[in-house]
Amino acid sequence: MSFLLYAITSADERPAGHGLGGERLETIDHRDLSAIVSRVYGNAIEPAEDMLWEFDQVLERLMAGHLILPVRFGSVVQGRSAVREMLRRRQAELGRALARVEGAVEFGLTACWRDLEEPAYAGSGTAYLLGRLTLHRRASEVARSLHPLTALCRSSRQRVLPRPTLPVTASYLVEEERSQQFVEAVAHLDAVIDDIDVVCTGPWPPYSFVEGVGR
Amino acid sequence: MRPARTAYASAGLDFPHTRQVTLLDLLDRLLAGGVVVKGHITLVAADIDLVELDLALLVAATETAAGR
Repeated sequence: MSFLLYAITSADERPAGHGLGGERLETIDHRDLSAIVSRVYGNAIEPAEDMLWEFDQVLERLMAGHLILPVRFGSVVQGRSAVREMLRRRQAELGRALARVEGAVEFGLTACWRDLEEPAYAGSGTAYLLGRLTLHRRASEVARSLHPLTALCRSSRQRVLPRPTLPVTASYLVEEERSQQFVEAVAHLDAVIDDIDVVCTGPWPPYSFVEGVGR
Repeated sequence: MRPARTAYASAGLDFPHTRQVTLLDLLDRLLAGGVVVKGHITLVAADIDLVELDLALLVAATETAAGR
Protein backbone atom coordinates (compact mmCIF):
# COMPACT_ATOMS: atom_id res chain seq x y z
CA MET A 1 0.00 0.00 0.00
CA SER A 2 1.34 3.43 -1.00
CA PHE A 3 0.59 6.63 0.90
CA LEU A 4 0.59 10.21 -0.27
CA LEU A 5 1.94 12.51 2.46
CA TYR A 6 0.29 15.87 3.10
CA ALA A 7 1.77 17.09 6.34
CA ILE A 8 3.55 16.23 9.56
CA THR A 9 1.77 17.00 12.80
CA SER A 10 2.04 16.09 16.45
CA ALA A 11 0.46 12.80 17.42
CA ASP A 12 -2.10 14.43 19.70
CA GLU A 13 -3.68 16.08 16.65
CA ARG A 14 -6.37 13.95 15.00
CA PRO A 15 -7.18 15.50 11.63
CA ALA A 16 -10.10 14.06 9.70
CA GLY A 17 -11.54 14.74 6.27
CA HIS A 18 -10.49 13.90 2.75
CA GLY A 19 -7.44 14.28 0.57
CA LEU A 20 -6.81 14.17 -3.18
CA GLY A 21 -9.46 12.30 -5.12
CA GLY A 22 -11.74 12.17 -2.07
CA GLU A 23 -9.53 9.57 -0.35
CA ARG A 24 -9.98 9.53 3.41
CA LEU A 25 -7.16 11.12 5.43
CA GLU A 26 -5.37 8.86 7.89
CA THR A 27 -2.53 9.36 10.31
CA ILE A 28 0.56 7.20 10.77
CA ASP A 29 2.29 7.78 14.11
CA HIS A 30 5.71 7.38 15.59
CA ARG A 31 5.87 8.49 19.24
CA ASP A 32 4.83 12.16 19.39
CA LEU A 33 4.84 12.72 15.61
CA SER A 34 2.22 11.87 13.06
CA ALA A 35 2.15 11.89 9.26
CA ILE A 36 -1.14 12.87 7.60
CA VAL A 37 -1.61 10.63 4.56
CA SER A 38 -4.13 9.17 2.15
CA ARG A 39 -3.96 5.94 0.20
CA VAL A 40 -2.71 6.09 -3.39
CA TYR A 41 -3.72 3.72 -6.12
CA GLY A 42 -1.85 3.66 -9.41
CA ASN A 43 0.20 6.58 -10.70
CA ALA A 44 -2.37 9.33 -10.39
CA ILE A 45 -0.27 12.03 -8.71
CA GLU A 46 0.63 14.62 -11.31
CA PRO A 47 1.36 18.29 -10.78
CA ALA A 48 -1.43 19.51 -13.04
CA GLU A 49 -2.68 22.91 -11.92
CA ASP A 50 -6.07 21.59 -10.77
CA MET A 51 -4.43 18.95 -8.62
CA LEU A 52 -2.04 21.47 -7.06
CA TRP A 53 -4.98 23.67 -6.08
CA GLU A 54 -6.84 20.63 -4.73
CA PHE A 55 -3.79 19.69 -2.64
CA ASP A 56 -3.59 23.29 -1.44
CA GLN A 57 -7.24 23.17 -0.35
CA VAL A 58 -6.60 20.01 1.67
CA LEU A 59 -3.70 21.77 3.40
CA GLU A 60 -5.76 24.92 3.93
CA ARG A 61 -8.41 22.86 5.75
CA LEU A 62 -5.76 21.06 7.80
CA MET A 63 -3.97 24.26 8.87
CA ALA A 64 -7.26 25.78 10.04
CA GLY A 65 -7.49 23.39 12.97
CA HIS A 66 -4.08 21.82 13.41
CA LEU A 67 -0.41 22.56 13.84
CA ILE A 68 1.14 21.21 10.63
CA LEU A 69 4.36 21.13 8.64
CA PRO A 70 3.45 20.83 4.95
CA VAL A 71 5.14 18.05 2.95
CA ARG A 72 6.28 18.75 -0.61
CA PHE A 73 3.64 17.87 -3.21
CA GLY A 74 3.89 14.39 -4.70
CA SER A 75 5.66 12.63 -1.82
CA VAL A 76 4.50 9.03 -2.00
CA VAL A 77 5.88 6.48 0.45
CA GLN A 78 5.41 2.73 0.19
CA GLY A 79 4.11 1.06 3.32
CA ARG A 80 3.22 2.26 6.81
CA SER A 81 6.53 1.05 8.20
CA ALA A 82 8.48 3.28 5.77
CA VAL A 83 6.45 6.29 6.92
CA ARG A 84 7.12 5.39 10.58
CA GLU A 85 10.80 4.89 9.83
CA MET A 86 10.99 8.37 8.24
CA LEU A 87 9.34 9.90 11.34
CA ARG A 88 11.69 7.98 13.63
CA ARG A 89 14.80 9.02 11.72
CA ARG A 90 13.84 12.69 11.58
CA GLN A 91 12.06 12.97 14.91
CA ALA A 92 14.27 15.69 16.40
CA GLU A 93 14.41 17.82 13.25
CA LEU A 94 10.66 17.64 12.59
CA GLY A 95 9.81 18.29 16.24
CA ARG A 96 11.96 21.44 16.24
CA ALA A 97 10.40 22.62 12.98
CA LEU A 98 6.87 22.14 14.36
CA ALA A 99 7.76 24.18 17.44
CA ARG A 100 9.21 26.92 15.23
CA VAL A 101 6.03 27.37 13.16
CA GLU A 102 3.44 26.89 15.92
CA GLY A 103 0.80 29.63 15.82
CA ALA A 104 2.20 31.15 12.62
CA VAL A 105 1.26 31.24 8.93
CA GLU A 106 3.23 32.10 5.82
CA PHE A 107 2.67 35.03 3.47
CA GLY A 108 4.34 35.45 0.08
CA LEU A 109 5.24 38.81 -1.40
CA THR A 110 6.17 39.50 -5.01
CA ALA A 111 7.25 42.95 -6.13
CA CYS A 112 7.00 43.78 -9.86
CA TRP A 113 8.41 46.89 -11.55
CA ARG A 114 5.65 49.38 -12.26
CA ASP A 115 7.55 50.83 -15.22
CA LEU A 116 10.18 48.42 -16.34
CA GLU A 117 12.92 50.23 -18.21
CA GLU A 118 14.59 48.28 -20.96
CA PRO A 119 17.91 47.14 -19.51
CA ALA A 120 20.87 48.02 -21.72
CA TYR A 121 21.21 44.58 -23.24
CA ALA A 122 22.21 45.98 -26.62
CA GLY A 123 25.43 47.83 -27.28
CA SER A 124 28.71 47.25 -25.58
CA GLY A 125 29.44 44.76 -22.83
CA THR A 126 30.09 47.67 -20.53
CA ALA A 127 26.63 49.16 -21.21
CA TYR A 128 25.07 45.76 -20.52
CA LEU A 129 26.89 45.39 -17.22
CA LEU A 130 26.04 48.93 -16.17
CA GLY A 131 22.39 48.23 -17.01
CA ARG A 132 22.41 45.10 -14.86
CA LEU A 133 24.15 46.96 -12.07
CA THR A 134 21.55 49.73 -12.11
CA LEU A 135 18.73 47.18 -12.08
CA HIS A 136 20.32 45.37 -9.15
CA ARG A 137 20.82 48.61 -7.23
CA ARG A 138 17.16 49.56 -7.75
CA ALA A 139 16.05 46.07 -6.67
CA SER A 140 18.18 46.36 -3.53
CA GLU A 141 16.47 49.68 -2.77
CA VAL A 142 13.08 47.97 -3.11
CA ALA A 143 14.29 45.22 -0.75
CA ARG A 144 15.33 47.86 1.79
CA SER A 145 12.01 49.69 1.57
CA LEU A 146 10.20 46.42 2.33
CA HIS A 147 12.28 46.02 5.48
CA PRO A 148 9.54 47.26 7.90
CA LEU A 149 7.68 43.98 7.23
CA THR A 150 10.39 42.01 9.03
CA ALA A 151 9.37 43.69 12.30
CA LEU A 152 5.91 42.11 11.95
CA CYS A 153 7.08 38.54 11.38
CA ARG A 154 8.85 35.76 13.22
CA SER A 155 11.14 34.94 10.33
CA SER A 156 11.56 35.91 6.67
CA ARG A 157 13.37 34.97 3.48
CA GLN A 158 13.96 37.44 0.70
CA ARG A 159 15.36 37.09 -2.82
CA VAL A 160 16.59 40.21 -4.58
CA LEU A 161 16.11 40.29 -8.36
CA PRO A 162 15.29 36.58 -8.87
CA ARG A 163 14.35 37.66 -12.42
CA PRO A 164 14.94 40.97 -14.20
CA THR A 165 11.17 41.60 -14.10
CA LEU A 166 10.87 40.91 -10.35
CA PRO A 167 12.92 43.11 -8.02
CA VAL A 168 12.01 41.12 -4.89
CA THR A 169 10.22 37.93 -3.89
CA ALA A 170 9.88 37.10 -0.21
CA SER A 171 8.26 34.77 2.33
CA TYR A 172 7.26 35.83 5.82
CA LEU A 173 6.37 33.66 8.82
CA VAL A 174 3.70 35.70 10.61
CA GLU A 175 1.89 35.11 13.91
CA GLU A 176 -1.61 34.08 12.92
CA GLU A 177 -3.23 36.85 14.96
CA ARG A 178 -1.04 39.45 13.23
CA SER A 179 -2.12 38.38 9.72
CA GLN A 180 -4.45 41.31 9.21
CA GLN A 181 -1.87 43.76 10.50
CA PHE A 182 0.73 42.27 8.14
CA VAL A 183 -1.50 42.59 5.06
CA GLU A 184 -2.33 46.18 6.03
CA ALA A 185 1.39 46.92 6.32
CA VAL A 186 1.90 45.52 2.80
CA ALA A 187 -0.88 47.79 1.51
CA HIS A 188 0.72 50.77 3.23
CA LEU A 189 4.15 50.05 1.72
CA ASP A 190 2.53 49.59 -1.69
CA ALA A 191 1.10 53.09 -1.34
CA VAL A 192 4.41 54.71 -0.38
CA ILE A 193 6.87 52.87 -2.66
CA ASP A 194 6.58 54.45 -6.08
CA ASP A 195 8.20 52.15 -8.58
CA ILE A 196 6.67 48.74 -7.73
CA ASP A 197 3.37 46.89 -7.73
CA VAL A 198 2.96 44.07 -5.22
CA VAL A 199 1.05 40.84 -4.84
CA CYS A 200 0.76 39.35 -1.36
CA THR A 201 -0.41 35.73 -1.16
CA GLY A 202 -1.49 33.63 1.78
CA PRO A 203 -2.00 32.66 4.46
CA TRP A 204 -0.13 29.49 3.40
CA PRO A 205 1.04 26.63 5.56
CA PRO A 206 4.70 27.33 6.42
CA TYR A 207 6.19 25.77 3.24
CA SER A 208 9.26 28.02 3.28
CA PHE A 209 10.03 27.56 6.97
CA VAL A 210 10.25 23.80 7.43
CA GLU A 211 14.02 23.99 7.80
CA GLY A 212 16.18 26.11 10.02
CA VAL A 213 18.12 27.79 7.22
CA GLY A 214 17.43 28.25 3.53
CA ARG A 215 15.87 25.44 1.59
CA MET B 1 -12.21 40.57 -7.25
CA ARG B 2 -9.00 38.78 -6.32
CA PRO B 3 -7.88 35.26 -7.23
CA ALA B 4 -7.92 32.54 -4.56
CA ARG B 5 -5.03 32.78 -2.09
CA THR B 6 -4.35 36.42 -2.94
CA ALA B 7 -4.39 38.48 0.25
CA TYR B 8 -3.56 41.80 -1.41
CA ALA B 9 -2.69 43.11 -4.87
CA SER B 10 -1.86 46.60 -6.11
CA ALA B 11 -4.83 48.32 -7.71
CA GLY B 12 -2.79 48.77 -10.89
CA LEU B 13 -2.46 45.02 -11.51
CA ASP B 14 -5.12 43.27 -13.57
CA PHE B 15 -6.73 39.96 -12.62
CA PRO B 16 -4.75 37.73 -15.04
CA HIS B 17 -1.44 39.16 -13.85
CA THR B 18 -2.34 38.80 -10.17
CA ARG B 19 -3.55 35.27 -10.78
CA GLN B 20 -0.30 34.41 -12.55
CA VAL B 21 1.84 35.69 -9.67
CA THR B 22 -0.36 33.77 -7.22
CA LEU B 23 0.03 30.59 -9.28
CA LEU B 24 3.79 31.05 -9.25
CA ASP B 25 3.68 31.36 -5.45
CA LEU B 26 1.66 28.13 -5.32
CA LEU B 27 4.18 26.30 -7.55
CA ASP B 28 7.10 27.69 -5.58
CA ARG B 29 5.64 26.37 -2.34
CA LEU B 30 4.13 23.01 -3.33
CA LEU B 31 6.92 21.92 -5.69
CA ALA B 32 9.96 23.56 -4.11
CA GLY B 33 9.02 24.03 -0.44
CA GLY B 34 7.76 21.83 2.36
CA VAL B 35 9.28 18.82 4.07
CA VAL B 36 11.27 16.77 1.57
CA VAL B 37 10.84 13.05 2.15
CA LYS B 38 14.04 11.59 0.79
CA GLY B 39 14.59 8.02 -0.25
CA HIS B 40 10.98 6.84 -0.24
CA ILE B 41 9.46 8.78 -3.10
CA THR B 42 8.21 6.42 -5.75
CA LEU B 43 6.29 8.94 -7.83
CA VAL B 44 8.28 12.09 -8.40
CA ALA B 45 6.05 15.02 -9.25
CA ALA B 46 8.63 17.48 -10.52
CA ASP B 47 7.01 18.47 -13.78
CA ILE B 48 9.57 21.03 -14.81
CA ASP B 49 7.67 21.87 -18.01
CA LEU B 50 4.76 23.20 -15.98
CA VAL B 51 7.01 25.43 -13.89
CA GLU B 52 8.86 26.73 -16.94
CA LEU B 53 5.64 27.37 -18.81
CA ASP B 54 4.28 29.41 -15.96
CA LEU B 55 7.50 31.32 -15.49
CA ALA B 56 7.32 32.26 -19.16
CA LEU B 57 3.70 33.33 -18.78
CA LEU B 58 4.57 35.34 -15.70
CA VAL B 59 7.36 37.19 -17.46
CA ALA B 60 5.04 37.93 -20.37
CA ALA B 61 2.31 39.12 -18.00
CA THR B 62 4.71 41.30 -16.06
CA GLU B 63 6.03 42.87 -19.23
CA THR B 64 2.50 43.51 -20.47
CA ALA B 65 1.57 45.08 -17.15
CA ALA B 66 4.64 47.29 -17.38
CA GLY B 67 3.40 48.52 -20.75
CA ARG B 68 6.18 47.11 -22.90
